[in-house]
Amino acid sequence: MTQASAIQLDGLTKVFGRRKKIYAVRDVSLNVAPGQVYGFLGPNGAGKTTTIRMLLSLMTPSAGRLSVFGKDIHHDPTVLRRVGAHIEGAAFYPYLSGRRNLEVIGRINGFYDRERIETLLKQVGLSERARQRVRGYSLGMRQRLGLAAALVNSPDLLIMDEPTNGLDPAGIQEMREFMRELVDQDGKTVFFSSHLLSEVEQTCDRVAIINRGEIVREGAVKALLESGSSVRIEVASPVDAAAALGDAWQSRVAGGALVVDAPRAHVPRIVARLVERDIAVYEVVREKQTLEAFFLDVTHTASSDVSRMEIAHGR
Amino acid sequence: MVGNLLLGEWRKVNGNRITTIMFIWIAPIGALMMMGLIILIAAFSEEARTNMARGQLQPWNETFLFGWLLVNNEIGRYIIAAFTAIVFAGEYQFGTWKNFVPYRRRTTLLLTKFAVIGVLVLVAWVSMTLIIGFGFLILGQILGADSGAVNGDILRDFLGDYALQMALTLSATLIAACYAALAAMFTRSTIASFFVAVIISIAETGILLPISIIYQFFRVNLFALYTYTPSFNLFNIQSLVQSGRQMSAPAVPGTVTPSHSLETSLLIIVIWVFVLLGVTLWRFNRQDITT
Repeated sequence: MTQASAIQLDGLTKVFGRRKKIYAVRDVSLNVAPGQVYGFLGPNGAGKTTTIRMLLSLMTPSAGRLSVFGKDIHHDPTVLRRVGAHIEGAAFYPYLSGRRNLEVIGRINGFYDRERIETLLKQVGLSERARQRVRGYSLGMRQRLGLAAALVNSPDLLIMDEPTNGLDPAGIQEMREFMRELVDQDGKTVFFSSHLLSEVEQTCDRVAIINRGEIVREGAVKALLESGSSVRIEVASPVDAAAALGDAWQSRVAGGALVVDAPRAHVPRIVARLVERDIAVYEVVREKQTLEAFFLDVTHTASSDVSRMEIAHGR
Repeated sequence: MVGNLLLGEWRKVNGNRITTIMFIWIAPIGALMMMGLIILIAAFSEEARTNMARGQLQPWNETFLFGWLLVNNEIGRYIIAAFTAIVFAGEYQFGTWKNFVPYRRRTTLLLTKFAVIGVLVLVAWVSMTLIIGFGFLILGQILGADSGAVNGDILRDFLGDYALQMALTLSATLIAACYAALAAMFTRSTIASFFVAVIISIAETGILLPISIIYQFFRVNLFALYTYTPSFNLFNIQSLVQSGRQMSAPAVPGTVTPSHSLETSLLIIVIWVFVLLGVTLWRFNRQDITT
């Protein structure tokens, strides 16, 4: 029997406004397999939070289907009991203590377990400050409490929106390790959005990039970076070398060397082709693309495409 | 499960100490301080005892009902409207609905909040009436005054009146809570909800102004409409319980606007409660939680 996807989105769309329609999310389809850290990237206003809100039944989609662990959340919202969430900054009652806030969240949602709350407070490093009112907490402390709140129900799927906001570098590192532990040791699934691309690159197994409400790229982090990587080759004559490669690979001359857009696996074939054509190869350096460069590249390309489409449609 | 839900909501609402003390607990606290002061003065001052003994003390059943007159009125309703507006709008202001909405059916969430606010107001108001009632009993003992007879008929009448006052408070609370919840859903701001909820409560009586203007200019008599507002019917019930007389409704000079019987007024209040609850639940179930 195949295991149901942790998250499955089919043609998810959210439109705001009646007369002047604004597509916050348009035809988004995603499939998040269980047991992985999945990153959801996008510039500000790309539709990340709106997608997460629909996923948690906080917002009603204008079109499309959402399912969690194989169950449509519209028809069976009880499946959300297997989900923990931390959305757009942790929100608490400022007049209650950290511990009391967790108790209230637990009791109202039907997950109250005093020992679990104490364990979580210890885990997120707030045991000593648990009696203090949340009003006096720093942003980082609120984020930690938010993480504890998201874990109160021992969820199988943890959904987090910008969880590292307000955390110091050590806190970010801890959060990253925590997310990986949840997946690697406890077999949970983590779906999170972030602006910190280096964090996503180091933490996630797969990512989806959303721009202007549409998914522009989706895949394993390694494969995506590989697809955008290039090779810098020092040769006697870069122009001749470019001609030798022909249309088989995209190439250009830069800084006296030949730069070929190709994944690592293609390097032996490229070198062989050049040697066949009697072109002396002095050095081959693979230029690994960072997720940041990849992200900027795809979001910029997508934006340009959309702008061209808007002009073409006279919008 | 339900116990956890109610206890969680209670901790949340009652945990906002400043708001609950300022709007709700101030009634029993104020009553306790006032009665304590009167009793202390009576206990230690011969002159005060003499003066107090000159004025006749009400029988026990009247003094136990007296507290309700202090809160089951327009001011009491405005206070409840303001309190519930703060409680509801707080969820939007703090952004805390998102902690509960994904896991709970919205109808259950909202009904729990109504129930907890209703119970909180009732507990506070009942405490106040008991403090006043027992306070006067103690005072009667100090003054050596007769506090009235206790027999089956008197007790039965008293319990009936007391239960009716509780029902009135609960109805007024639910109506005010619906106004406040709707105001909070639309404004999502504590201050705005506070004013909108109080203004809606005042506006019930305020509709007499447009009704009068319409009569002045078009000679159309719409005064009977006012007798279907929650305010009028709550006052009418209060008047029927206290004096056995119907509340007279405003009317065009020389005419009489028919008032309602106790049963009709109760029915009108029940209809208002259900309609407002329905509208509030419908609106909440359709709302996107974006804060």
